[in-house]
Amino acid sequence: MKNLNYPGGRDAVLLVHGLCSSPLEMQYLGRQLSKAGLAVFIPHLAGYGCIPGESDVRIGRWEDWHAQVARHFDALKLHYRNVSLCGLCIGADLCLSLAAERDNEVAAQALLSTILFYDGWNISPFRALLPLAYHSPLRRFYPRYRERSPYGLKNERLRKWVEQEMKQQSQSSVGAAAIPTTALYQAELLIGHVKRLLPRVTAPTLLIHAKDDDVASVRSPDYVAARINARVVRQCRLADSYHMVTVDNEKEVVARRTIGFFREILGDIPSVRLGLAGTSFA
Amino acid sequence: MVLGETCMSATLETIRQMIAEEFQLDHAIVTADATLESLEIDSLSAIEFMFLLEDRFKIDFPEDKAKIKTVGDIAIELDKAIGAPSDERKALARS
Repeated sequence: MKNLNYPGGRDAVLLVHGLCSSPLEMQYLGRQLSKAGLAVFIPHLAGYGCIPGESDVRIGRWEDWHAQVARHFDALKLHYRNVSLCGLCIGADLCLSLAAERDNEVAAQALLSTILFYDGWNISPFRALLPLAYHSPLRRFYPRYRERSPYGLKNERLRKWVEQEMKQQSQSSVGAAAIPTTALYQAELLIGHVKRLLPRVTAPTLLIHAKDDDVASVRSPDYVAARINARVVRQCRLADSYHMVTVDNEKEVVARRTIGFFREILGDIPSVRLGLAGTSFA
Repeated sequence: MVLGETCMSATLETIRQMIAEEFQLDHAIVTADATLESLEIDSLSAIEFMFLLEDRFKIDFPEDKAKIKTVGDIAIELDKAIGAPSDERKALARS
């Protein structure tokens, strides 16, 4: 899976996709940010992301996920005046993890469907036990957590298409049909790390979350908003989406609010295009 | 030029413009023969674009969209769909 990048001006945004998913789920947002004048880079993170059509995923440690995000961020900093972050799901946790480490360097961050608690309405009560299974012989019997309908999608047409994709192959463009227990375990470790470091986060932060998120309730963004030390914290609740807000019914609202927030923090975004396409920041 | 060809060329031009704008592509490379794959439009973006067309033109594309490979294919399917009544149009007709 290749990295995606879109041209922009003097300010850039690093977009981080969700666990066991791919840059494709962020591309609509990436294109809109680019049209607004921001350079956009959406990396595929090894040991974290999945490749549509491929079932074999070798999951890495969360520290490696963080290190890759940090490396891409540093590469962008060499070329751009301001670099902001935007992450979906566990990608939002990775943004928080980096923002806690680089408090004065992150220009702004937009956190979409942040997960600090798996307490959404479609989460099985047994889901909470899965990270424990990692430490026991049970992991041989439960090596994967199978995703189930509605797959984070309120949009029925798209959900139907994703279901078909998942039947034909183990991986859809918006996530895997089943997530390895090791990935969930590493995500739990990352979440614990992020919770501890939240007071260190000072970057202006926008939290976008669906009221009816099926994976994580609004407790997660509320928890973040109450504990970070950012001078600007904005919250946006979506009324017609589930967890996958970058592709669901209100993806245009997500793009508009994210662009508006970055404009608020960065000031006018120069429309001049300096070009990024074809440049690799890996 | 017959009427059908005129419709097709107008539809094709509309689709070319929409694709160039949506995916930030040079209009010149969005030709009728260009495959979505060659334009680096992946399956998720392609299906989202088809949904956009369904909403904008109030039409229904066939369930099996696998045969749509090129920009020209989209224009052909759009012309067919505009000719056929959509579920919404059928409902209006019944009411």
